[in-house]
Amino acid sequence: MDNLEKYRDENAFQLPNGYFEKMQDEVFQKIHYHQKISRRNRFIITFSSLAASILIFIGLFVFLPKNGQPVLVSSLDSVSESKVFQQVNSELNTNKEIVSENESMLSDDNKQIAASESVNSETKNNSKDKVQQFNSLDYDIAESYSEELVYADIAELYSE
Amino acid sequence: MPVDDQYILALFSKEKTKEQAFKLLMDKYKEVIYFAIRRVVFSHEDANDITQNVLLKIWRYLDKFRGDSSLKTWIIKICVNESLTFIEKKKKMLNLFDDSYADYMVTSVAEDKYFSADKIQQLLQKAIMLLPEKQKIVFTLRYYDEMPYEEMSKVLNTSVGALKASYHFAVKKVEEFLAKH
Repeated sequence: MDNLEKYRDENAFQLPNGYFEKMQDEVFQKIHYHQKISRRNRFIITFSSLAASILIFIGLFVFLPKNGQPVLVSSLDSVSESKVFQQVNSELNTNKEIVSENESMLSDDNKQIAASESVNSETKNNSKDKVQQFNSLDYDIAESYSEELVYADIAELYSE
Repeated sequence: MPVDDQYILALFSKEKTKEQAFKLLMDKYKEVIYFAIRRVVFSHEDANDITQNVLLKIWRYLDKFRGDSSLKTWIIKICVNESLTFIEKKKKMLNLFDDSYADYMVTSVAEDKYFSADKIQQLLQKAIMLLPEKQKIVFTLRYYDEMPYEEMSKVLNTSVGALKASYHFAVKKVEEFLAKH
């Protein structure tokens, strides 16, 4: 340890001239800057909390019950008497009429479709019968023609 | 004549005299703060940054100082914590591990314009740079500031016995390094 004692030199670490004065000024500048920011933040927080509390108060005033009945219900009753409500009601009635008209038109269409389907099935049956008749005709013709050929062959044999 | 800590604290507790109290505190402790940091991080630029951060923290938290230890011990504790945090950040930034960071610091000793050109001083600093971080702090607090072990145990939250052993090992390592070079 005695060996190290003799090497101890407080002045080994040097500094720029007037360092501590400048450093103190810089620190105070930073402190003032931080104070400004914290004051601004405090203002923002206070303002926003005030705005939020006003909104909550308005909300409570509108939605909380007044004389046993919620304020919202009494305001809805007044809406039913208003012109807007009547207008909306008449619009709804005309809509209902249009819907019922559409439904009746749809039922007519369905009847027409059913009728056309029965006609189609009849024509299908007729055409099947015609095909069968044609096929049997075709068979008869083919048979008679083949008989003629056989007779012709026999006649040829005999002529030789 | 140095101002009493209690007087500074009393002034600081009032909004009107807060700045005056802080000025007195800075006048009293600026060198203690700066050199406690400088001996750990070595570079003047780094020490300047950390000193300013420490002073801002003192400004912010001096209201919460409970007086469990002396004001000087409380301030040095902040200095040590800030220095260690700074070193960890710097290691990460430079992507260096403990050994390579020590080598980096040793090379910076010779290049620093705010450090003595004396060869023995440079060798001593290089030897200190090679110590592990906590051992370096124990060594500098005891060797340069002659801080009592009891006070140091409050700063570093370590037992007096462990601090004595740590300082003993640090001295041995520094002496060996000086003997080799």
